[in-house]
Amino acid sequence: MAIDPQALGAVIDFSVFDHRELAALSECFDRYLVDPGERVIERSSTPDRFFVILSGRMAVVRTLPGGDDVSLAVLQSGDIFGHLALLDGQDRSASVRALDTADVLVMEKTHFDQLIQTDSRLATRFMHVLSRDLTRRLRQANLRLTDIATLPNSAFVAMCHLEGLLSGNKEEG
Amino acid sequence: MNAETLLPILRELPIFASLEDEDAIALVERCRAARFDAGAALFGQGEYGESIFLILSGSVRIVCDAPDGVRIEVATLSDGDLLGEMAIIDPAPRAASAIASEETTALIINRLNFEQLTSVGHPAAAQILRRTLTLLAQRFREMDDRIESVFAARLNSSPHPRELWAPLTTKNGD
Repeated sequence: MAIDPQALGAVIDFSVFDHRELAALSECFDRYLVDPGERVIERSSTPDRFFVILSGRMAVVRTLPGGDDVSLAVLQSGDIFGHLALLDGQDRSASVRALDTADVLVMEKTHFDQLIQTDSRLATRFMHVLSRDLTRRLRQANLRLTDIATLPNSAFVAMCHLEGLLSGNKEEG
Repeated sequence: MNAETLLPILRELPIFASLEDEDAIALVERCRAARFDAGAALFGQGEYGESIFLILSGSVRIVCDAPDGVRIEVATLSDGDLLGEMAIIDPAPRAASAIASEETTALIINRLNFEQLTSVGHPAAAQILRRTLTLLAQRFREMDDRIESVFAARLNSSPHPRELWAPLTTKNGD
């Protein structure tokens, strides 16, 4: 599927980029649909790409020793994921699975590295977007940590259900 | 401290060591240095963040006051360390206070100047962002571990949410 640079500028906070940069970024992205339950990232795998969600929800999950999948975060339209491992070169910290049909953009690591190395202005602006995204998500994660620890049982159960936790590993991956 | 005194100091900082002369000069024009006495605050918790600080000499304690009045020591930073960058990158009140533990000098870049440096792709902004991203990635991984362990603790305390949910789903017939 082709990606319209304007659409890219609308979905994510890419307002810092000019037309030329958006066009360059668009060329590096592929677009595809993810089925509900499909895993696009496996924990501990070697990072080779990152994603941007156009629509739909994805859960960042880890599987506990008992077999339960727990959601570390729930991501939605405009969120970036999979870039952490590209930035620090370590293995994937968690798996990512679609909660419903998701429309995503994907950029391969080779394209990402090339982009960062050839255009320093674009690279700097891109790092600004990524740091802002991570800072915001870290604050959300702090709130989520409090929720998980303190929500009353009924609200906690509802949250687990909405995030597909109760179906756990029984869901097809 | 004027630009001429500041330039050689900047060049000695590892984070800016790779800057070309003209980039270093452009950076000097967009920052200033300030001296803080022991006990003085570089910034306070809850304040709206306006500047990034880079410690040139001395040391700084990062402390966080919890709602119950307990003061938590988060970290101690020293020469070459960067602080206060999160609130500039994503505008929000400071999450902690930064207090000089001895006489300290710091390089200060305000929000407007940092944004200008970023938008032109100045290598100093790129260096600050690169270091920030590495730090954020590390903190994110730590956060993933913490959320997992809090989740695990809650799921291990009975009853398990699956058991609580089961009667509800049966009642609803699905």
